[in-house]
Amino acid sequence: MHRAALTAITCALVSAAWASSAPAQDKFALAMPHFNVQYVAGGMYGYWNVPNAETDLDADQIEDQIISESFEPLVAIFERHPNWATNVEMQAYMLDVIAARHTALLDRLRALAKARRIDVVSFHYSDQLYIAYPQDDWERSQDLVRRTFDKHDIPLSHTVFCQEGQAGPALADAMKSRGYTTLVWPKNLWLYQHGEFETQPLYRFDDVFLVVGSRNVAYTDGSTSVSVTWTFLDDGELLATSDMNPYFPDLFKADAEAVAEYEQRLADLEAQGYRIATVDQYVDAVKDRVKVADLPELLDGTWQPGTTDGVLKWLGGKGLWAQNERDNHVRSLGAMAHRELMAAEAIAAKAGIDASAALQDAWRLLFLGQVSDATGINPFRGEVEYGIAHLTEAIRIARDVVVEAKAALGVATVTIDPASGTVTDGAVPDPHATLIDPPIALSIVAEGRTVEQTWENLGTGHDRVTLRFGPGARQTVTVGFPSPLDDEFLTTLALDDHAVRSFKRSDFVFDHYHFALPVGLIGPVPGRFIIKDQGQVHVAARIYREKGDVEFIDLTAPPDESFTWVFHLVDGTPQDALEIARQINARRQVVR
Amino acid sequence: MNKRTWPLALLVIAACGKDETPPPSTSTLSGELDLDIRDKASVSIEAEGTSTRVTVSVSKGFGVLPENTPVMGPGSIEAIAETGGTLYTGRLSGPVVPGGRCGDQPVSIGFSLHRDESNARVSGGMAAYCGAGVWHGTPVKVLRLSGSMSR
Repeated sequence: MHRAALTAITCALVSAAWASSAPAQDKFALAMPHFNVQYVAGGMYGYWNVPNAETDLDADQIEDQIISESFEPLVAIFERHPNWATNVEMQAYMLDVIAARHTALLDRLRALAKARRIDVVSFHYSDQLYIAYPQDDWERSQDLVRRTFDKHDIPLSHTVFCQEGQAGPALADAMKSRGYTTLVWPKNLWLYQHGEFETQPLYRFDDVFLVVGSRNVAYTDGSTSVSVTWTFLDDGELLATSDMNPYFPDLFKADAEAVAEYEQRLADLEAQGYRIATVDQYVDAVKDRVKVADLPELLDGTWQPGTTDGVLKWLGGKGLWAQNERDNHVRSLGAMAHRELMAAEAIAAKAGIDASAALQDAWRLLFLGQVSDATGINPFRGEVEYGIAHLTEAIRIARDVVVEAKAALGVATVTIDPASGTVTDGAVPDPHATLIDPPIALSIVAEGRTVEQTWENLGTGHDRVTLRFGPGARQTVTVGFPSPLDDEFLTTLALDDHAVRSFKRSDFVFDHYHFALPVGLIGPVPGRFIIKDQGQVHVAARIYREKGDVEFIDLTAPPDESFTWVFHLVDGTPQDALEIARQINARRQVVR
Repeated sequence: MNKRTWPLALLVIAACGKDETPPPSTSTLSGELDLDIRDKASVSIEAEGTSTRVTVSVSKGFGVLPENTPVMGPGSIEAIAETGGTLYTGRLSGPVVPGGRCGDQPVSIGFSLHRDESNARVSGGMAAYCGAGVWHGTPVKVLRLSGSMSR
C-alpha cells in the first residue's frame, strides 16, 4: 500500500475515534428570519397621493420584490455553505406565490429544505391575526398550510414562530396535535409580562418545547455547557436589504454588502465553534443534556408589546395613517365572515351538497382578509381595504353556498346552528329579552357622538347591553366596565376555545394588558364575565394590574358614521360564560 | 327605524299609489366608488321585485375589466341580521380582456359590498376569476371598492 494512502486511512480512523469520544458541539447560532409576503397587503398602489411608476406597485409586484430582493439572497447564502442551516418563517401563502412565479427558486428552496439546511417554519396560511379569532379559523388555516406544503413538496418545520410573533400558552396543545415540537417565544413578550430574567436553554411547554427567541444563552451544569447566540430574529425582508422595507419599493433592493456582512458574521461564529443550526437541530442536540426549565404563567400576545401596547395596535390602536384606519370594522367583518362560513358548512352538510371547493376557497379568502396588516401597525388605506375586500368576498361565497343548500332542502328561510349542525325550517325566535335598568354604570367616552344605551336581561345572570353611537368627528371611543379589583382574572386563550383559564395579576409585572379575546370572553373577577359580540365590537380588552375595570378602546372609529357595540354580562360559572361566548362568537346561530 | 325594515317600508309606500295596479317595486342604489383608491367604479344596484341587478363601469380595468364599459349581472341585497348590516353581492359576467390576466378567457367578477348600519359608506371589492361562470376559486385579482352609495 502506498504510504500516502496508509497515512490517510490512519488519519481517518483517528478522526473517527475522536469524533465518537468528543463532546457534542455545544455552541449554536440560531436565526428566525420572519418573511411576510403580505408586508404591504394589496400592494403599494395608492400609498402616495401622487402617481409614481417606481412606487405604484400592485400586490403581485410587491410580493415578487419581497421574494427576489430579500428572500432569494438568503437562500443563496445557505446554498453557498453546506454546513450551515437556518430557519425561515413564512405564511404558507408565500410558498404559493413562490411556486406560481418563482419556480426556479422553489426548486432551490426544496433542495435545501429536504437537506434540512433551510427549515421552513409556517403555522398559518396567511399572516392573519389568529389570536383574535375562534380556533376554527386557525384549524382550517393550518389544514391549508399542510396541503400547501405537500403540494409544493416542501418539508414543514416542527418549529413554530408566527406573524407579529403571536404566541400564547394554549399553543402547546395545538402544536402537539399538529406535530410541531418547539415554539419560539418572543423575548419581549416575556419581558413585558415578567421583567428581566435569566434565559434557560430549553423550557417545557406542556408536551412540547419552548425556546426564547433572540435571547442568548450561556448555560453550564456540571460538565455540560451550552451557548446560544441568535444572529437574526426580525422581519426577514430587512436582512438582505440593509434594513429597508417594502413600503419603499424604489429603495427596497438586495444589498450585496449587507448580505456579505451577515455571511461573514456566520462564518466568524463558525470559526469560533458555533454550529449554524436550526431550532429543531438545536433542541434535538440539547434536550437530553440540559435541565428543561419550567415556564412562568404566560399570556397571549405579540412580539413587541412595549411599542404596540400589546395587541391594541391591531384591535383599536391607531398608527401613522389613523384617519383611514377602521380597526373595529375590519375585525368585526372578520368575525362575520367566520360566522357565515361556519353556517355555510353546517347547512351544506345538512343538505348533502358538495360545496367543499367553494368553502375552501372562501376560507382561504377569510385567512387573507384576517391579515394582521389590515389593522396594524401602520396600515394605509389600501391595506385596510384589502382586509375588507377579501372578507366580503368570503361572505359572498358562503352566502352562495347557503342559497344552494336551501334550494336543495326546499326551504326559503332557515335557522342554522353550527354548534349542533342542525338546520331548522323558518326563523327560530331570539331568546326572550326583557328591558332592564342598567345593573352597572358604564364609563363611556365618545366625544361628540350621541350614545344610546339599552340593557336587556336574557335569563338568569345574563344581561346584554347595546350601545348605539351616532356619527361624530372624533375617532376615539372607550367603554369601561367597572369592577372591583381581584387578584384573579379569567379568560380563554388563543387556540383553545374550550377552557377558561385563571390567572393572577400579581404573577405579572405589567401596568395594563390588552387581550384579543378569541371568543370574546374576559372575567375581571371570578363569577363575572364580559363578552364582546365580535360581529359588532372586536377591539382589545384592557385590564390593569392594580385596577379591576375592563376597558374596550377604539382610536380608529370612523368619523361621520354610526355604529353599535354589543356586550353580554354574565354572572355565573366559567363554564356558563364560556358556553354563551361560544354561542355568540364561535358557533353563532344565524337565520338565513 | 331599523335599517332592515326601511327598504320594506319604501316598497309599501311605493305600493300605496292611487292607481289600482301597484307600480313595480323598484329601487336603485348608485354611487361612484373609489376603485383601488385612485380610480373610480360607477356602481348601480337595481332591485325590482325579488330580482336584483348589479352594473359596474370602471375607469381602470386592471387587466380584468373593460374600461368605461358596463359589466353587469344578477345580484342580491341581504341583511346580516345579527349585526344590523347589509351585504350587496353580484355575479358579473365580464368579457375577454385583451392582454389581461385571463388571456383569452372571459372574466367572472364576484362583487361584494358591506354596509354597516344605515351609513352612506359601503366597502368591499370585486374578485376576478378566469372563465365564464366561475364564482369561486383563486381570484387573479381582488379590486377594492369603497365610498358612498345612496338611493
